[in-house]
Amino acid sequence: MTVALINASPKLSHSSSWALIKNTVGFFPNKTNVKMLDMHTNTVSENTVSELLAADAWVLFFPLYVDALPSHVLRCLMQLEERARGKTLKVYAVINCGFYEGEQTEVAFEIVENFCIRAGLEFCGGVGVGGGGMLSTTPVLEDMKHNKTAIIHELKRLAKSVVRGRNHGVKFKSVSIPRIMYKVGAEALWRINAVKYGNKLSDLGKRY
Amino acid sequence: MKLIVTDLENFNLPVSGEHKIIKPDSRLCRCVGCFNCWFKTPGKCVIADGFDDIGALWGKCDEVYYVCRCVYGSLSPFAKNIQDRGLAYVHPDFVIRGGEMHHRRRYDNVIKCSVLFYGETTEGERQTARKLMQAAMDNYDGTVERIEFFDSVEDMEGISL
Repeated sequence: MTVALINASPKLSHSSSWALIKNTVGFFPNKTNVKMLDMHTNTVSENTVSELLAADAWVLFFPLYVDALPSHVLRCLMQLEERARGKTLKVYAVINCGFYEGEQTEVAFEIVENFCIRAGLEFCGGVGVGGGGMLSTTPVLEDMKHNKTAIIHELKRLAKSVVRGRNHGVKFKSVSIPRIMYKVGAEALWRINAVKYGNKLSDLGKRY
Repeated sequence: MKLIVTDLENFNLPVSGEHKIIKPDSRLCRCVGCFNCWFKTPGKCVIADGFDDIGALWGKCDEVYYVCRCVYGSLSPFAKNIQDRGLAYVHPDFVIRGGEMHHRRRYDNVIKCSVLFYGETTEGERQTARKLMQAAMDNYDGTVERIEFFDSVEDMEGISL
């Protein structure tokens, strides 16, 4: 079978979506033909459309933007809706959010499901990942596995569901540290970055 | 002030009071998730396409209206693009509201948000859209004022904002 792992982050590199893809790809057996495809901009290239239509399953990886899909992902799905109609395709998603609770991705999954209904594709669930801010901030992803245990295990189960053609359901996971530690760590990181750009700490709350 | 975000080139609904209308513009770039609006130029987007002040604009509004097509239960891509580019409206720090993590306020205004969706929709899409706008306004610590669905743009005749 052919599985398309679609990096739909608007970032070309160092995204949480990419970190999640890197952690998922190894869970597919060797006999599975895994294609890594990009969906970073407002349109899907003709080559990528062909690869997508030739696949048996899509796994969309993208970040949550204001409780929903980033605008470019919506545009790409609208482009694919007509082209994919009538194909036997299963669609999964891995949606990461900067908040601690993976549950905050729930409405975005509904939007992906509504797309599938319009396009006549089979929505098969996926994983809503909380704590997305931690996923791409470490240079060696493998070293982070102890902090992402629950996420890693769910991605492994997701890969199994994809290979078996099963509906995975929508599962929510978060980084394996307490919420308060995530909050403190993220807020410290904002301050380090603000100072790096010559701002004062009070500038973080600047109003116009 | 009222802010109206619409994907209609020929938007012609009557609007009372001080307001600003944002309509489709080919210069508009998508949010690239760089977060520079939080730590490099706090409060302002670094993409200089004429839409770098959406967050600040939200900070001056008491009412925001979206008049756009409903796409899979979401705002249309143009309206969503504008919403995405307004990330600087919130402060990067976190607060816990209703048991969930959200962003701290940057501004004091409480936005009343209304959406007039046009286009054919399913019951599932309408349910998703209602949940989505409530979640988005929970995130911005604002309120949802009104959400309406119209089968076509023509059906919105008689509505005033």
